Amino acid sequence: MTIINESNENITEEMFTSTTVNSCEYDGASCGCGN
Amino acid sequence: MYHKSQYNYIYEKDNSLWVIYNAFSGAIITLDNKTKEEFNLLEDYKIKNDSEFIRNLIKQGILVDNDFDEKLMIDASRARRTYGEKSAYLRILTTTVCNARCEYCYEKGFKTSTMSDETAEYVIKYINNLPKLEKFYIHWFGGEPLLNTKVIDQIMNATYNNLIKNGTEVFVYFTSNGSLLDREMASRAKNIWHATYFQITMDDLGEEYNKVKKYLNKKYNYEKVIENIEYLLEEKIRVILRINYYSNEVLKVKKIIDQLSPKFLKYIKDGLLIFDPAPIFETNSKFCSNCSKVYNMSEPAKYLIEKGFVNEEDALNLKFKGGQCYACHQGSFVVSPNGDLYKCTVTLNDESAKVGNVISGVQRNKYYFKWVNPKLPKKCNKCVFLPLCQGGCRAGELGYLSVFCKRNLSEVKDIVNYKIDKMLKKFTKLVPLKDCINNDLYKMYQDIPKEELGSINKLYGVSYKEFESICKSMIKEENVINEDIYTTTKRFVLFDNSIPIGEVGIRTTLNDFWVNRGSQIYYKIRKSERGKGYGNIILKLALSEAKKLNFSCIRVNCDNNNIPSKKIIIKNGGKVDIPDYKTKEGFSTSYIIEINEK
Repeated sequence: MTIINESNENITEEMFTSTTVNSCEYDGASCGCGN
Repeated sequence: MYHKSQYNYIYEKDNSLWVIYNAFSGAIITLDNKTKEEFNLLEDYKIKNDSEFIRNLIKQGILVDNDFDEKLMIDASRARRTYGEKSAYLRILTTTVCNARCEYCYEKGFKTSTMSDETAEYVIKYINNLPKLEKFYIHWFGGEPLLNTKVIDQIMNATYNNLIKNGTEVFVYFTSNGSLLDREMASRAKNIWHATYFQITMDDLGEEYNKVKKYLNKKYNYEKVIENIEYLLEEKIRVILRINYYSNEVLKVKKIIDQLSPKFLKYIKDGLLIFDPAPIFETNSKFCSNCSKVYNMSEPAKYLIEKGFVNEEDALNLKFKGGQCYACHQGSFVVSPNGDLYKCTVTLNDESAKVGNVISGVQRNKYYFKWVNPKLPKKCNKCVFLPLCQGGCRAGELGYLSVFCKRNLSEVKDIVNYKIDKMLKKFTKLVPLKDCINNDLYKMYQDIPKEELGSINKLYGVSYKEFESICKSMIKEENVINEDIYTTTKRFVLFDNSIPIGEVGIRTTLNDFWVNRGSQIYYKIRKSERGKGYGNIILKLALSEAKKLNFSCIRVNCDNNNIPSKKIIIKNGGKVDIPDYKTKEGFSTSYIIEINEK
């Protein structure tokens, strides 16, 4: 067994602490709105 | 006791190299056939923590405690993001008028309007009456938002300081074509608008860019936008260069990056200028996790990583996502130029999609809860990639767009494979045979069969002294023709860290036989290291050595029964030259690999 990517230790932070609001679901892809 | 995570995505990469990517924990591991079989035999909910193998799988989140329900955690996280009260996001359209006519714009046919000073005053009141927030996002949007900078001045002057005084962290985004900026406006963007970043579309170069944007006034053009970007960068305002592209335009993206990066290199290195390639979803595609359509979003990202312009973790992100976007958040809205509130910009042309206005406030009607609701379609609840996308785009789900899921199997697999190849390559190298004759290498040759698929290992079963002497004669063949096969051969050993993995040879003197029939490259992997992807790496590295020796193409032959090797050759660009020819052992195929591009 070779570990290529370790598991993310910050999942709990992402789940229960972060107050970020994501800009758009199409981040990284475009629906045509230029965003 | 433990069970297998429901977010394990398992597949065979190549040649018995198995991959498990866990979309919840983000872990990626590889297994050979034997350990994969061991994994298969684990009986769900009855797995005991009784070996190093099991402990590692638990640590990576591939096995989870029977008391732990990942799905509940994911749903709780999404619900928290949906109903969270500590942040708010407003996307304010100063106008729906635009001075460009981009072909792909979704606002084509929308009614145009521009925000008045009076409406701006109501927006100010709305913002100043918000409850105390930890984070507040203002996203200036349009049309082209800079066609109406007066309301931006008005609103920022009357709200920013209040928000800061209340201890709120304020983020100010602009989505603009950048054409209307000048030095003075860039300074205003820094000092009055407090811009965090400008996203500026750069869909092509020079005249091609002008053709895409179709500015109504010719004084707005490519050169002007490039100049304006520099004004923003000089003010130390981050610029995100958005490169929208269709699936067949990956080369265009690379061209734009190549052309613009020398000019902006110092800003790229400071993290101020960021290339952001974004595929435009063709409306006739069904882009979902069950779809086989290949839309390779990761190709431009990989290019940026190789150039060192972007961090791999950011560009090829396979991490857990907390929740959906602003449209699904209870306190976040799009503000239209006349002050109406919507949940998403793509609904602006739909009167029934209104959820209030800045004067009378938010209407928490049925329509509002179509967005502000963490419930997902059935197929998302079962999807192995749910932790990555949290249900995707709600506007798509509600029928405003043709697609809503942006994670497809081929894309995720492509990213995982890239990370594996990169990781394996990081520790592997070819070393000339003459530089590594020692006991470890001797042991490697004892781990390669004496005879296999027509290939003979002369070093198997010999004494160490004989091994040294045979190696010396093999090294001589680099410059002296071996009369038995009429060629010279340059030999290398593949190392992973300090462990010798296999041998590769390149025939370097080519007579008619070697040009028209003989396999110019051969390789052997030691038995204990097979099924780990080294065959692919050794051929790839050998091709780059061949390129250094000025070969433009290489002939490689492969026994028809040797399926793993056949796959590796094809993966490295092998095209069949002589199919199914008879050999002593059976049938083989001869391939040609062009190496000019490698």
